[in-house]
Amino acid sequence: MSKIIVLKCVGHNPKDFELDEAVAVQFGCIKDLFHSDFDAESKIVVDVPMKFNSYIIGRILEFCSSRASFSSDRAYWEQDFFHPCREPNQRKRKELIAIMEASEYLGMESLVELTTQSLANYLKGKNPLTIRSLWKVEGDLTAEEEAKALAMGVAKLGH
Amino acid sequence: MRSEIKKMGTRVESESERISAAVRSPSQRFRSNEGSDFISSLPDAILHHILSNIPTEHAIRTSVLSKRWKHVWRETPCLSFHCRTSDHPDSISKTLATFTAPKITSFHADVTFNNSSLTPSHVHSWIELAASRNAEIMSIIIIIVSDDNVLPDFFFTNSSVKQLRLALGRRGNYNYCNVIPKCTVLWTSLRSLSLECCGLPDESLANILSGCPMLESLVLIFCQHIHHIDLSKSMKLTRLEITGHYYGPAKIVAPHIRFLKLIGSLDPCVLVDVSSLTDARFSLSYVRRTTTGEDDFHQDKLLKMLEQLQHVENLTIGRIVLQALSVAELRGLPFPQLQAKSLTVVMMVVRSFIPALARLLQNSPGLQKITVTTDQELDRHLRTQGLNPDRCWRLKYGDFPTTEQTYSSSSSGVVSKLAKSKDVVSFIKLVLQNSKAVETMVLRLDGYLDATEYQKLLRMVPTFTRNKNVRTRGQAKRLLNVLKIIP
Repeated sequence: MSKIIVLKCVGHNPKDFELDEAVAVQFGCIKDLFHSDFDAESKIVVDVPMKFNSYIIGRILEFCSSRASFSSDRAYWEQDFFHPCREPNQRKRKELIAIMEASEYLGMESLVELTTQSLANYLKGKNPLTIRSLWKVEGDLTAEEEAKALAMGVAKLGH
Repeated sequence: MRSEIKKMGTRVESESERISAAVRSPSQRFRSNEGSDFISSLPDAILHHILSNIPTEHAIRTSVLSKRWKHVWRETPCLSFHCRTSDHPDSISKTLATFTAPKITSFHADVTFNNSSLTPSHVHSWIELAASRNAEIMSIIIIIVSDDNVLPDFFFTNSSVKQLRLALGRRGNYNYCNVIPKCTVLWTSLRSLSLECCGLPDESLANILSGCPMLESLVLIFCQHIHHIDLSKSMKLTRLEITGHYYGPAKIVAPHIRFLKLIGSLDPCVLVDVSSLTDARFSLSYVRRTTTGEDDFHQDKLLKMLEQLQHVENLTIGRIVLQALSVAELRGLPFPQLQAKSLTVVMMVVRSFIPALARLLQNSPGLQKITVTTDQELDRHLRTQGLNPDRCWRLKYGDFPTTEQTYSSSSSGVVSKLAKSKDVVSFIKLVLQNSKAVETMVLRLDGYLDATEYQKLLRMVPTFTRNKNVRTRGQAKRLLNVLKIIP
């Protein structure tokens, strides 16, 4: 009899998600959250911390079930799953970070890898000013510090 | 300077306002403040993880973003850099001196010695940096013009590296530098070793193998001077991959390996002991001509290799090998019985491959799955060799086209695809006739058929699979469980 794992999400939209044991094992989920009596129980209830709302967990489960059914194509997932719109906007980026944190909490290595890779693509090869505007980073270095850092960053370790 | 930065600052701010305005959507899933900087608030560990995915030269640029970001790249346990012709090795060393992470997980250096200011001591200092921070994954590419041995002795005694990739040249230039460690090699934690474009004399390989007791995987790509590979003392080594261009080993003794990949050499090699093998892939790159001008297909050697691979469960055979085996079959040479459960072949649906395939199928009573990948390369070689259409082929194996009938290339170089779906159908029938237990068949066509022929083929698929039980004249046709056709 396969076990069901219930993820209880709280927050302004509380919802319970059911996850099949086989899927959980495939994605390495929640191993650390299990207690030693896992084998005895047929239904495990996991309380998800408040900061991961039900929308995020829903997206993660969507990822799991779709990925389990066809052979993964990383580029496809990066584009379509994480950024369905052509121009990824602020909200999507924030969602990306939330998914990364939640999947780290749940122990899903493959999804953590995918999200970090997507985030890395946002930083790679971009002008620091572009990064600042994309991510709303507050520049708080003094002018000299900035000049020094810029000089170092541009000329070293390759162009 | 200050005013410029201020101007840039205001431009940035107005841009961000525009972004937040666009984002104010009716769905209130994210109620939090749109204007906050949420990437900087991530903990260091996560930022390190993100920066590990980009080359260090890009990671350094983040140090300009803000105070919080100033030192993030320095503590990221991952270094990846290029020293190209236009770079200054001294400034690279200077920047690396500011790198403070106590431990390196992954280190990648790509160094081209065309740069006149680059000396071996630069390279030594960079390798030393990796070693001193206990780098676990090291990947070093050094392109040297002369035959100097740029690898320092201490490179060969490293107890923390688990995965090592070393390339001393680029594919296509044939004068590779040798890897000849002067001391005894001691890579006590090494699990996976990949050597590319090196000269590797047998004694050096033996030295390396004896210094890697934990080695599980050995990959040799375009390495020269290898003659005998003896892995009998490497108990944990289960995976051997050798890709060559013309050169390959002559003899392999590897009683513990489970996975073997041998591709690209001119001559088949002698497998002395591969008794634990479960997966084998082998193919040749060309067929060597003997001095008298006859083709020398090495049929005996190939058949001996096949004998050594009898017990392999998953067997993959390349194009040239298959053609050579066809000649062997036509000459009536005996083929060994195979215990393969899954067979993958690279071929076109033309006559030159059919005899070998039929024979292999007949000799594999336990075969459950067959995968066929077609190869688009025009086989000029075949036309000049002795594999002409022969009457006996047609009678024994059914009617298959010749290579010329499948492809024709005009003087302008356009290749027109003349392959017909009926040939593929005959092929499927051939497979079914010659094998008793095959349940699954996968055909990777790779554009072999044009669109209309492909549609015709698809319509035939149900007649071969088990869903429709077609009975012809009282005798049930052999059917497959799964027939997958990938266009």
